Amino acid sequence: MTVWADLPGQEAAVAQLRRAAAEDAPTHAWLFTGPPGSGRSNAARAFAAALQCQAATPAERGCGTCHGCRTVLAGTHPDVAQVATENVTYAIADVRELIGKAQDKPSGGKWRVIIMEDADRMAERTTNVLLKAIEEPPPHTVWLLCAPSPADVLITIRSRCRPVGLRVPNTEAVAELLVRRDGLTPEQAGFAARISQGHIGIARRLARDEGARLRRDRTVRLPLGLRSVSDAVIAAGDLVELSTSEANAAAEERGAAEARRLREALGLAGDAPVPPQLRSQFKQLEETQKRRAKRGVNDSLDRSLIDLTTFFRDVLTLQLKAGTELVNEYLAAELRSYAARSTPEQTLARIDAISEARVRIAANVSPLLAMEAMMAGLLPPR
Amino acid sequence: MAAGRTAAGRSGTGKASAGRPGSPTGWRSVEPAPLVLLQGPEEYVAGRVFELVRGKVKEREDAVEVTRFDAATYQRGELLMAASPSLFGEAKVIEVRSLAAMNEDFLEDALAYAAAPAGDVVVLLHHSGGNRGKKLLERLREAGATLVDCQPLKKDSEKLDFVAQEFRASRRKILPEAARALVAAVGSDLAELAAACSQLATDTSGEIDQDTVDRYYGGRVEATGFKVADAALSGRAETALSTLRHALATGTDPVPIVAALAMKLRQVAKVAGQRKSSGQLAKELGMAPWQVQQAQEQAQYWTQDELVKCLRLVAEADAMVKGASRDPEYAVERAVTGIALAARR
Repeated sequence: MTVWADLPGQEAAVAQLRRAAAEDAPTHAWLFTGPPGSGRSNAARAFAAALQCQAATPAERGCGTCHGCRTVLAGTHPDVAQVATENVTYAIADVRELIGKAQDKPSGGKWRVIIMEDADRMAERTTNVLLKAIEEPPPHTVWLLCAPSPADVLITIRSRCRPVGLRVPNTEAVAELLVRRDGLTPEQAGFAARISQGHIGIARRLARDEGARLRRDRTVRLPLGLRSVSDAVIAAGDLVELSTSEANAAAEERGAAEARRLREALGLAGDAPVPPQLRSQFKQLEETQKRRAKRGVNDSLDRSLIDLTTFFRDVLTLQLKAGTELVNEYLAAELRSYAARSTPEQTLARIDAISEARVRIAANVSPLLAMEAMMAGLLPPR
Repeated sequence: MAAGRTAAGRSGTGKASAGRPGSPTGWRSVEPAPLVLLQGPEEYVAGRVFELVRGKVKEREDAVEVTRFDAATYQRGELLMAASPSLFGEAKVIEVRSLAAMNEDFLEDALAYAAAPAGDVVVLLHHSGGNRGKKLLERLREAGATLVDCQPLKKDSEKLDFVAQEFRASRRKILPEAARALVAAVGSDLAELAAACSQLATDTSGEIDQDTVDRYYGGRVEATGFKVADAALSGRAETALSTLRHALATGTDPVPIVAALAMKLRQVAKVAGQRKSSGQLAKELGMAPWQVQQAQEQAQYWTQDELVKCLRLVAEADAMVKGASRDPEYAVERAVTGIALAARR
C-alpha cells in the first residue's frame, strides 16, 4: 500500500507528485489547491512522506512501508511540521516562529518539510512575512502550502510556488474509500458520499453521526417552510442559534479540559482560587478559546449554507431537465413540486443569495443579519 | 465624602412642590426624620436629598453638626460616637453613603442603632441597590424610617417633569417646547440636566422659551442608533437623516447604528403579518411586550416586499461599514434613506 492510496480520484496530481518525489532536487515550494474535502492536506502529507521515503530506488519513493513514510503519515516525523490554525486567521507571531524553524537542517531525513494548511487564512501582512522564506529557503527546506484555490493566496506567493491542482473526487471513489478505510457498508458510504458532494471528511461524519445527519436534513428542508418575512427572520434566527450552540457545545467541553490541564500544569488544586500573578495565563487561554469559538460558529454556518445550496442545485437540475443525479435523492417528491412552482431564473437568484451570505459571513457581517438577508432572498415571490 | 454636587444645588431650598409619594419625584418633599433611607442607584438624586435635608435642619436650628461616613470604610463605634449628645447641644445630621458596599462593623453598629435611634439626630443612609445588608434595610423599615426612592429617570415624560419642577423651585417659567428641547439636548445625564436648568435659571431673565434653550444648548442633540432606527422605521425620513447626522457628528460609529437598524427591522419583520395578540407574540418571539407593541405600530407602514428589500439593504450596509466600502458613513446614510423611504406613511 503506497502513500498515495488514500487520495481517491486524484490520478493526475498523484502522477505529478510521484515524478517530483523521484527527482533529486524537487521544487522548494508547492501550492496544493482544490475544493474543501478534496484532500489537500492529505495530498501534501503523502508528498512529504514520499520525500522522506527511504526506498532503495527513486522510482519507488512513497512506498508506505519504510520508517520514513510511516512516521510522516502518523505525524511523528521530526523533520516534517504540519501547521494549521484554529482561529479565523494565522497570527503573525506564529508565522515568524515557523520561519525560524524553516532555517534548521533536517535532523534525520533528507528534507525539512513544512506543511501549511489553510494558507488562505492569512492577512496580507502575515503573508508578506512569509515571502522571503518561501522564495529562497535553505537548500534542504521544502514548503507545502494548501489553499482552496490559487486566487486565495497573494499573487506574490502564488508565483513562487509550483501548483498542484486537486479536483472533486467522484462519488464512487469517495464511497470506495469510506468502505475500505472506515469500514462502512456500501449503502451507507454511497448515501454519505452523495449528500456530502464528495467532501471526504463531511461524508465520514454524516455516515457516522446521527445528529449531524438530522441537522443537515433540517437545514435542507428549510426553504420548504418559508412563506412570509416573519418566517424568514425566525428561520434565520433558528439557523444561527443551531450553529452557535453546536459550535459552543464542542468548544465548551474542550475549553474546560484545557483549563483543567492548565491548572494541573501550574500546580493548582481542583477549585483553588487563581492567584493574581497567574491570572494572565488563564486570561490568555480564554482569549484563545474565544477566537476559536468564533471560527467554529462561522465554519458551522458555512457548512449549513453549503447543505442549503444542494437543495437549490437539485431544484435547478430538475427545472433544466439536466438528468444528472440528485444530491438529495430522498427528497425527490418535495424537490419536484418546489421546482414546478418556480423558474430557473429564480433558483439561480436564490443560489446567488446563499453565496452572497457566505461571502458576507467571511467579511465579518453579523451572522444573523447575513442569514436574514439570505432567507428573505429565498422567499417565494408574491 | 463630598457633599451634594455644587452645580444646580441652589434650588434645594425645601420649598419645591411635592411630587406624589413614592414617585420618582417624591424626593422633593422629604422632611428630616430620625432615620431616612435612600434606595436606588441615582447618585444625583441621593446627593440632592442629602442637601435638602441638611438645609431644612439648618433652617430650624442655629448650630448644626454634620458628620459623614462611608459605610465601606467605617470603623466600629463611629456611629454611636457621632450620635451621642454634644456638649454644646448642636443639632446633628449624620450622612452615610455606599451602604451597598458596607462592611461588617457598620452592619452591626447600624443594626444596634436602628433598634434605638436617638430622637433628635437625623441619620441619612443611601443604599444604591443589591443584596448587601438586606437585614439592615428590613430593620430600618420596621423602625419606621422615611423611605426615599432614588431611581434614575428613564422616560422623557419623567425628565420633563423634573425640568418643570426645577424651574418651579427657582420660581421661573419654562415653556413646554423649551423644556422638550432641553431634555433632547442634555437629558441623558440627570446631573447635567439639573446643571443646565440651574444655568438657564440664573443666566436669563423672564420666561424661558425655545430660543433661549437653543442659544445655550442648540445644535446639541443626543442621538443614538436606536433613535435613528426608530425614525427610519416609522418613515420619518427627515428626522431619521438629521438624527443620523447628529449621531455621526457626535462620534457614534456607523457599525452600532447599522446594528440598531438591523435589530429594529428584525423586530418589525417578526411581527409583520402576524395576527396574534401582542402578549402571545411577546412570549413566542422572546421579545418584551413593549417591543412587540412598538414593532406592531411600525409594522403598519410596511409591506412584505419592502421588508425583504430592506433586510437585504441593511445586510449590504453592514458589509459596507465593515470594510467593503471606503465610505462607511455613506453606507449607513444610504441604508437609513432606503428604509425611511420604503416605509409608507
